[in-house]
Amino acid sequence: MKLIRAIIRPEKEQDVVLALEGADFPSITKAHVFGRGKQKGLQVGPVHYDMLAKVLLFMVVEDSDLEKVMAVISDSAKTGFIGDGKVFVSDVEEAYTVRTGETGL
Amino acid sequence: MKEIMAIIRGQKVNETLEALYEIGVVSVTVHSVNGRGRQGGSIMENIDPEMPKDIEYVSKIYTSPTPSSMAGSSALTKPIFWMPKNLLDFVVSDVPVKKVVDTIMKVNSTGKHGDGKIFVLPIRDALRIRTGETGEKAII
Repeated sequence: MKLIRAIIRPEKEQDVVLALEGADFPSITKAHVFGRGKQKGLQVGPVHYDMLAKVLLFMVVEDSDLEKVMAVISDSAKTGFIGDGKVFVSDVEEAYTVRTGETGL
Repeated sequence: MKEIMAIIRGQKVNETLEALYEIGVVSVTVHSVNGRGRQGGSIMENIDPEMPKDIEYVSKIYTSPTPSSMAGSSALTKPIFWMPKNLLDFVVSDVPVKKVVDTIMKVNSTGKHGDGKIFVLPIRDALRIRTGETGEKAII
């Protein structure tokens, strides 16, 4: 299993979530975060924004579904401008459902 | 070293933290997050019994509007799209993972949907900023 952490634009959140739901991946956790990237924030005239608002999506998927989920996220979150976000993938060894105690997703 | 991420109900956080303290897990980070699981959100049947379970009927016009029939008129498929949850995030090295998982499950099991999930991730390295210690020493 893989943990996907996707940092996306807040205005694209609903697009991404509905696209994932359409692709049969309804389980998502989101957190509203502030961050900056390689560009060190945003310069708009005299005003410098050090940290920009983003949405962080957490998802755990099976290894075989990883490519499909990545394609859905990158298609739906893309605008082509700086600040579209990043996706990080890490390994998950075990997953448990609290209600039933089952392992796996 | 393993990182444990547990997504649990907000009202169970203090109880879980106390139970974790008893078995020796003292350092925990708590995030307040929103999430949805395999059910894809929730409908307001507990709050509003008039709410039909079938999604097709949600957009129907009701003669006496209820809070959930108003919520159902949005583009979202379920009136409660995001459920507030808390994410406990911590790294353990000396406490067995199985014991931690069992403790979290014992406290959080209510038998209803939405109890949450626990994920176990491998951690390669850790660093304590104050002293510069790395590895297992940084966690204990």
